Amino acid sequence: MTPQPPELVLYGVFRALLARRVPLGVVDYLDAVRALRAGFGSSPGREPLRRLARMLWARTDDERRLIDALFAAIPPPTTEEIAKAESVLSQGGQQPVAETAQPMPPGTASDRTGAGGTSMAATEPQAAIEFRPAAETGGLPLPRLALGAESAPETYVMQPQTVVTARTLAALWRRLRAFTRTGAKTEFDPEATLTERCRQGVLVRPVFRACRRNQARLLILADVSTSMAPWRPFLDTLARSLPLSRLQAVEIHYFANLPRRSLFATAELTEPEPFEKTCRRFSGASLLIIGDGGAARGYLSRRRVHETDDFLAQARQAMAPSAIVWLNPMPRERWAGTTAEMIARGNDAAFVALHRTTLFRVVDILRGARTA
Amino acid sequence: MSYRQFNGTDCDFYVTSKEVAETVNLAIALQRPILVEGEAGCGKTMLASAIAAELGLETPVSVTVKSTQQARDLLYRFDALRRLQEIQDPNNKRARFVYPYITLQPLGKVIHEGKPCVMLIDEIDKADIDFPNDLLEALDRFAFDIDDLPVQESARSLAAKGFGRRVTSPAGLRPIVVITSNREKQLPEPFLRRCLYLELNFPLEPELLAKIVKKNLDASVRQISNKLIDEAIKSFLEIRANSKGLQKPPATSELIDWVKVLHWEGGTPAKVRGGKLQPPYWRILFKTMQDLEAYTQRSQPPAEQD
Repeated sequence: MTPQPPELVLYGVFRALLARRVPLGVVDYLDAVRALRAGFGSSPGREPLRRLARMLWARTDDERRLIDALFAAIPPPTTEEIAKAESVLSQGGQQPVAETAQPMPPGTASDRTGAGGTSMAATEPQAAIEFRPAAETGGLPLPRLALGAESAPETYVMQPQTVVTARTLAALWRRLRAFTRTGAKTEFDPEATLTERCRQGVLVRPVFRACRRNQARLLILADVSTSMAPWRPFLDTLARSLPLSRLQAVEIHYFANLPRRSLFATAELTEPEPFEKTCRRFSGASLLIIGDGGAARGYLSRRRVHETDDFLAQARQAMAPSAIVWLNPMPRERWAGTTAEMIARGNDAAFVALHRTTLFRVVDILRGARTA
Repeated sequence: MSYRQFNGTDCDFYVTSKEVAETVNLAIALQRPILVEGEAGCGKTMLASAIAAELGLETPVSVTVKSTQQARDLLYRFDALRRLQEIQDPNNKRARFVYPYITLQPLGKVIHEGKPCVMLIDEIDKADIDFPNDLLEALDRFAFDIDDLPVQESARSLAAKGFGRRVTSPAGLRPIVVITSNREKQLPEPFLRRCLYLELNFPLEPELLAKIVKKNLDASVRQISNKLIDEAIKSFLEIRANSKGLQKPPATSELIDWVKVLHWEGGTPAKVRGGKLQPPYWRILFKTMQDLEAYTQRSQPPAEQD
């Protein structure tokens, strides 16, 4: 049975929804075809199809709006187009596949006869769906970008996402190693024992050495102001991965916008501790600061720049850190013209944008690699 | 064999819109569970009874989920304590086996019997976050495993009680599953994707409201004047329009209670009309102190405001 025009329209909408990362599966499309064959949405016109798609595929208001926008953007077919589509369909499998379709399991192709599957992909270039800009359909406006910056093509993700899993972070923290032999001598040292035996001619007692312990210490300061709200899942994952790391001492402290006299032990900004005290405890350790520095909202505030410079100088003096890394969740292109850029220019700490791939570099710098 | 169509208007205690009826019919045709969400008091639970009544089925098998329940408790129950007690008696041969102490619970019974019926799982968001996911396999394939029953006893249990370790549904018409949620917690994504989503909005058309009120009043109160009902509905819609942002805006069940009280206390259409934003007994419509105070402020006649 060759697919009919309503199935084609639904197929196009289905592919568009998949491209917009709506979590749908082949089962959902097959259910739509079954519903069509059972008689739902079969009244003439687009409206019953739109209602069917909404009922079956939309679970949130965003998805409903998306389906409405897709249906509104489909131009009504002219009679020539319908005739062309039908002639293509009747030719069946002789059409070459125009583009690599979404990998559909073989079960679906055999479900609708082999000819139907390939001809659907062939007619897809004809059913081109254009999208109207989000402003017309009531979507969210783009945040203000810095002057002179080109707007890169961006997709907006509405679900909170974490950049990496706790497991990946824990594995990264394991790289932060600084093993030295310290403490009580409890481990048996074979080479030293042999040397001693050769030197003295007789083995009196075996030689022990201290165990290797990870001396790496890390202090993490995280900004939990409202501009950092999209990265709260990342910060939560980070906090959860810390007990899994094998660092000698690692703590995460929170502040809002700028660390002032005290840092807080919880993300809700409770349990304050004076900044000096934390620095003294972690003197000589590495310092990791996570904050957007105004880049999330695109602000430039010279006062904030000066205050941040003062804070970094104070941290250097009180803590004498072995390495300072400032991790900015916004991509580097968005730092231009904001406070973050000024801070980065004026300080010689390492400023890194947050991404799955850059976290590796962050850990290397914390370990002591050169930042150049 | 298939289920009848659901129209939303044929049963004598429930009325709903065409879109809702369409979604219900689609879910029945595709054999997917229906997830009903909406304001409290909008008729989510009654939808299951309405479906059963219109399709000519028995009263729905209903389970109200508790916050301490696990998905397993809906499918079967293993009375371990009883077995432990009985095994203390050395003469008791029954306690050597596990299968006499396993009973099927409502959802498990529905799956095992496979009769066409309506199954209602009420307030699923009250339970643990994993609860809906644990039910996924049972709702998807209408089959589940009794983990507490050892594999060796499966054949014995099948002979004695009719079900083995794997309980499957006989071929044929599957039961209709209706799940309601109060939106207290976010439901997991695979579960949302499996169900067909239905949102029951508060009906804003006076005619539909009048029909709902009359259907719910006919059973308990006779001869309530239509004019009183219409005036009360008009007044109610105005109050509701002024209650945006309150914690619990008045909904259908509050409206029905209010109309009943108005009738019992001898309210007339004129009295209701004259009350403007504060008709007689309007306080019944609100459920919390804050809502009452907020609405009192909003509905103060302008002359008294400064």
